[in-house]
Amino acid sequence: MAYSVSHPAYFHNVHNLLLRYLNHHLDGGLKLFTHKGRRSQLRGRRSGAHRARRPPDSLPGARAPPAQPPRKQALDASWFDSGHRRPSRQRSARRTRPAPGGASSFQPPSLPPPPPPLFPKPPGAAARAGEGDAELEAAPGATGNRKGGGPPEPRGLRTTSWQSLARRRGTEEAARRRSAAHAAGPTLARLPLSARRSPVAEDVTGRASGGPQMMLAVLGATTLMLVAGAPWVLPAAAEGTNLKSPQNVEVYIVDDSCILKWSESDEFVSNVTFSVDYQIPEIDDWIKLPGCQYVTSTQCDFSSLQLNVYDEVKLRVRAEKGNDTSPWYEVDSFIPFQKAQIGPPEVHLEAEDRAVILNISPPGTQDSVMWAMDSSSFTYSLVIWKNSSSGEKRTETVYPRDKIYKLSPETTYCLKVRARLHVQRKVGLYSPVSCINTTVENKLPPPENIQIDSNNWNYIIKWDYKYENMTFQAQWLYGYLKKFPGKHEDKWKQLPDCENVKTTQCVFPRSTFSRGIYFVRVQASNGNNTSLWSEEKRFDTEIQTIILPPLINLKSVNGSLRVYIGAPKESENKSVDQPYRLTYEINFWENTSDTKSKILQKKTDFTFLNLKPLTVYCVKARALILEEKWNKSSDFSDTVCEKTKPGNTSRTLLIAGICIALLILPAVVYVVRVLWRCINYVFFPSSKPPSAVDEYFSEHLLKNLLLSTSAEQIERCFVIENTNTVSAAEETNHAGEDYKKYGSQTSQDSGNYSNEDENSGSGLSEEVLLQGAV
Amino acid sequence: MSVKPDVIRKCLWPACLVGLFIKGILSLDCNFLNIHLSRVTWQNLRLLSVMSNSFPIECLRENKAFELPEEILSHTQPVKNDIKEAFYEASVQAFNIFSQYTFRSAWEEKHLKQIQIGLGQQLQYLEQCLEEEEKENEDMKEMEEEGTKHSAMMVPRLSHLELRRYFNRIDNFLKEKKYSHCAWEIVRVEIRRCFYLLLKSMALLRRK
Repeated sequence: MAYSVSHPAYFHNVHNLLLRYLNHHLDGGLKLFTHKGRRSQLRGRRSGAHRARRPPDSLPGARAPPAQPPRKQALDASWFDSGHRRPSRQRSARRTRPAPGGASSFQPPSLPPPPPPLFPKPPGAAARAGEGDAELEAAPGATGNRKGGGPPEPRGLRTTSWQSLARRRGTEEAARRRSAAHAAGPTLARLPLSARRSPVAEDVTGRASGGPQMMLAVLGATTLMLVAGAPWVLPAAAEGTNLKSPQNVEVYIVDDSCILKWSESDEFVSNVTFSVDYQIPEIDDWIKLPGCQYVTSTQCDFSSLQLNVYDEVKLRVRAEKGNDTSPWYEVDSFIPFQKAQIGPPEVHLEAEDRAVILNISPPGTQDSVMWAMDSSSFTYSLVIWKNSSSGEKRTETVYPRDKIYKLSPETTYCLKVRARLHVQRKVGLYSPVSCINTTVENKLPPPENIQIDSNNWNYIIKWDYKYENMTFQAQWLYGYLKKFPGKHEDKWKQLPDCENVKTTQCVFPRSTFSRGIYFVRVQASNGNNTSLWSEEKRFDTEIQTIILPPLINLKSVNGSLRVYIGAPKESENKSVDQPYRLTYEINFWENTSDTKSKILQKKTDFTFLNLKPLTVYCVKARALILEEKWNKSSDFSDTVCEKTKPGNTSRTLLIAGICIALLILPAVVYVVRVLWRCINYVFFPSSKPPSAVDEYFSEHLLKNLLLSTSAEQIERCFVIENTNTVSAAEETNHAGEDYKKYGSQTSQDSGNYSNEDENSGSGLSEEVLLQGAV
Repeated sequence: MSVKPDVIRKCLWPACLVGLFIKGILSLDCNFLNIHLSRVTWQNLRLLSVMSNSFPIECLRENKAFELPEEILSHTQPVKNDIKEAFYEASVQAFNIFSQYTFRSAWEEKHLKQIQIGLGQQLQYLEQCLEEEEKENEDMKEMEEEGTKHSAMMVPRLSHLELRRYFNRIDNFLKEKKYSHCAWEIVRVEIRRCFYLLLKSMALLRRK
């Protein structure tokens, strides 16, 4: 019974040895007491069920006095027996149980020779510890680990200790025991196996009398246990007792078949079976997949589950052998629709001489769940090639029921088809290659080169035909029917106006077809033989649409012309709705002249301004569609002419002007008169000034004022001397007049009254004069 | 008429190539289609309103919240095509729904036909547009011969799954109620609402 280092039993064993060592070296003051107490507890519980206790008696020789062995043996045996009864309740433990004989062989009657080395473990002790471990781990072992791989064992054991203890009867004692242990042994309680170690810890601490030696020993034990326990955390490498979960787990979904595939992790292990569980979002539990429980094959088909293909689903798988189970391998949650691959479609072929008729069934069955919403959404692409030499491949997009044209007769063609879903970016698998021989050339070839035109009232189909004197007929089909797989041979309808026409063209009214896409085909016959159907020509009323010319309304308003463009009317007096944005081209000219002006505009109400009055103008218009890459124009409407009115506005102006003038004229005249009076008054006065003023002014003042020249004052002067000699006596008579007398010289001088100067020559004379005057 | 068969055979393969490719690509540009697409979709929306006279009041009891995933309608789409693809998915599912078991509804046959045609048209345009854009993308990347693996680019977006679940709920509701008239009415209103919200989001995105 060899255990690897990572076995949990190993840890326990080490612990046991340490404690044994410690006990051996310590004073056993409380030994007996604790031992007794423990034993009484055990006795009380013996009748009850087994539980996860570590009876202190399991430390053989630690406390038991030699006198006790038989009882201890009995106790141990009973404990072991009760433990052994458990496997029926629990799932198979991960480890095999030790042989029953192991227990009894476990207890050496006496202490091992002092001091036993801590690490080497006697197999007996290990076995004893091991079975306890196995019991504890049995119950939650199966359920405790959800994820695959080696579970961390401390965790498992921890849950074991809590869960298993809770589940078994008499949990209260265990709890009591545990709490006591916790109180007593804080250092050891740190370890994950504190619950299980509690009795031991209790013993240790109970026994310890608080000596520093004891504490040191405990610390040493702790570190050793930690070191020893470290490798325990590594995943167990059992010798053939641990199963690994399956590997390379993949989900393959093609159409409706959903398969989970995996491979064994270990090929050398035989008799391994597998189980698969699934889970869907609403239910939180894993559900067993029917039909995939304990199967030996490495794959599982879960198509029968009737899952909603748009909902997430989770799967998990594990391996089993006997009572062992591997951990679950969980596949990431996925949506079946997203993972699904489009399978190959089914192809049926029918040969003509120059064409092959295809009949493609969509992938999956008719009531496929995966493609339930896609039955008519698949687009198919086809690759076709001649089976012989060159074998050039050509790819084409086809409808489920379609024809491949322009082949040569009596040749083998091979083709393969695959379906696609564009939006989901799914490309399907190719169908298997199927080959077919085209037939012998037919006597009557089908009509070729079908063209469809239209005018205002009709559609015209034209085609070419080699031979003369044939009658033709045409059929049509709703375009959308092509998207459905299956036969629609019976859905073709006759074009009534094209039955048995003799010409290579056929005219039918526009009202035959409402808006939509249609297919048209033509067949020729000459009484006895009929040709095969021509190529199916696609015909879109939208593209063939005709714009009818608009209706024009002219109105002359006060010297301008107003143009109303109205919607065209069909022959039935029903107005046609023209949902395209139309641009109108208006041609506009004077009736007499030839020059036309063109205007492009979108409004339907338009005015020409500044026109000559009383002239005739003409207008015609046509509607255009000026979108990118699509020019369509209608015919010109009828020409409409209208005469402009004679300037109504000028006449009124004139009248108004006259009125105003009439009103203003008197005023003007009045003003003019006033002004004239003013002027007259100012410049040409008619009244005379008064007489006195007249007198005064008439002679002197007026003259003086108006006509005065500042002439020199003429003085009455008497000429005194005629000669140069002056006689003083003769001068005294004229005293009344203060006239100065001048010398002779002075009389000749005018204005020179200075005496001194003049007296130079005739000084005497002046003195005389002066004397005479005084 | 006097051409030798050998010459015909020689010319046939290139002709086939050209012919088949032309048929495949259908030579309609996506921008060009957008005009028609918007027209057709708004038309279908109107049809969804018109096909029933009025919502019967007694059906209000059976009304159920289908929980349209709101994240699809967010305006902060990193890729503009996301909402287009969501709209394509919604169109496909609506088309599927209206193509089956409509006999129990009290709608007129002509309206049913019109809505089927309309939705088919819508689908056709969207398919062509998306295919074209994908072809442009795939010119740069290698085409996978075997569709066994998903390439990095082909990662399905979670929002499409949410949309799928939404339509799955609608489907299940119809089945549960055994395609009764009330169930059809409720579904009609719901799909109309879904389309309207998607179209509005697309229009807002286009303006950005």
